[in-house]
Amino acid sequence: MNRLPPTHPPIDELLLYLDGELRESRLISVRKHVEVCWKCRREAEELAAAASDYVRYQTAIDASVTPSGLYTSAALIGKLELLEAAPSEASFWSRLRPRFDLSGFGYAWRTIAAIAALATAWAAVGLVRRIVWAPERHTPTRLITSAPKSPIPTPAVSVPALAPPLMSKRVTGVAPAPVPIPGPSPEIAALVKLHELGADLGEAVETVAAPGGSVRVICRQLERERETEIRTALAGIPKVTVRTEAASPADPRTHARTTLSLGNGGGVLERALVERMGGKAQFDRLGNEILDDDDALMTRAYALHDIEERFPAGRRAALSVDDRAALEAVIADHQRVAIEKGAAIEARVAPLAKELGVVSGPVPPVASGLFAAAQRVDRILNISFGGSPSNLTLSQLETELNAALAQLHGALGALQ
Amino acid sequence: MGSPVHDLVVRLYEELRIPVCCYLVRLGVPSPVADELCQEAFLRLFQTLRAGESVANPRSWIFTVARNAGLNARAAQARTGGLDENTDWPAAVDEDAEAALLKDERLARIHRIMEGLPEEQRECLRLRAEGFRYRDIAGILGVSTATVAGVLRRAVLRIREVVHE
Repeated sequence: MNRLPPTHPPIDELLLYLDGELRESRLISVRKHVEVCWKCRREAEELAAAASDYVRYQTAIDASVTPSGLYTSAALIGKLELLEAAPSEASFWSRLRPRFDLSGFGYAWRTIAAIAALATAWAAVGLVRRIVWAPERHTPTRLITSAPKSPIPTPAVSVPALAPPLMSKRVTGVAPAPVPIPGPSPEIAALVKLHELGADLGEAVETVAAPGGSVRVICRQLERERETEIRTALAGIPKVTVRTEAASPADPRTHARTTLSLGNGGGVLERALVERMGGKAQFDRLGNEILDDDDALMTRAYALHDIEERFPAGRRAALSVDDRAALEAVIADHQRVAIEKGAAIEARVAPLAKELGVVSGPVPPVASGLFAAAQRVDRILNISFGGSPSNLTLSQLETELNAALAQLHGALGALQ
Repeated sequence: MGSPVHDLVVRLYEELRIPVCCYLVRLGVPSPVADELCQEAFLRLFQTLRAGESVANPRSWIFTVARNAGLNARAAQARTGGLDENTDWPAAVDEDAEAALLKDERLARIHRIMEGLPEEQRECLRLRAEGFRYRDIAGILGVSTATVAGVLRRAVLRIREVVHE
């Protein structure tokens, strides 16, 4: 039976929920509430209808915009070909130039003032100090890309009278500093980029190494925006191609939750916990926090498992020094989060086990490794807090909870 | 067929040209200038990617750069003042077509709400309708995500109230 949190979520949360912006700690609770509460479901439908009305309005008024027809894709392609034929800009200059963009009047003055202040400070410090400064201290670390003055020759266009500016705020779009591609291997470079994007955390993105050192990154039914993000990130890596394919029904992640059930029935542990915790509201809140941490732990466990399968010990030993260092950095990052989330689960569940009077007995030997431990913990936590079915008795569930946590503790200890 | 960066930029241009131009026109930029600024933003994106620099979200990057260019063009014109009488600019918006569509009572009501909203709030709604997440909108407009959430909440509630009254 679905649990119904006692209070209706405020309208702010309903809109955030509809927009996919609700924070994880509230998401499960609000989703479950909307599923079972007629009033909130109607409220959500009305908000969605209002948003839909606005989209219809915007689409309609955009149709009345008169296109100039001056610039087509063919015109852009022509200019891109000219640029491609020209030598690429020096990287240092290309990073520095936008900082001196004078197209915004206020910004230009601020830039000039900053340069003048720097020059004064520079003179004061003196030549000796300049010599001993490490060169990397002068390297710009961020790129300002806002409204740059284009170096591209474009037809002279005079600007007609326009509405007075209603909003003078000028946003500085800041692109992150470029990340150097580690080592010469496209496969590791792609893996690092995907990791930076968080695309190795359960998304349907598969990397396949092909003969000759080339790599295919396969995206399956991702949102267009997300796929574009991935394509852009990988565009600069040689020998890496990105493909779109239909979703694979064999993706283990899509079945993980349904194949791990222990049986039918259940809810005894939940009832016992609700009774001891003083109410369903407290149980739901704590349960949501635990399941959020469990989700994060599982995604990291899957990511580490994938890396282990792709790079077994023999293959890892054959990697170049750069490649191995980059791969180990990715592994270390996953392990860090897994340890953090595992510790958070332990800290939240241990007092409950104590409350239930679970006696820590000897834990039978089990398959070692984080992946197996995380799966076991995921299964028992979903039975205990997520409403997954089970026909185990309360005593068996308590024992399993205890054993699963002990196994996780051992696996996390091995990582440290 | 060009390099992967070339193909990516062309594909993005085909996808985003119309939304970006409409966005600039609604900022008050004439249609030909909007088209030019839009193309310039894509040429810059090409150069940025080609130089090996990282662009985490090219869609919001393009909108940010195009918006700044649009605001600059508008501010520059405000400084120099007056319409360039030597240039016969076509109307950016077909007013007859707009008037016809506003005969739809629902759309007309939303139009009245939009006219009463500050520009920043209108932009917020427009960008959300383009599919941007709150954090992207916040980045493009230079405001906090909490501001974006507040603006969208008020606007959606107002639309619901007026359209369904």
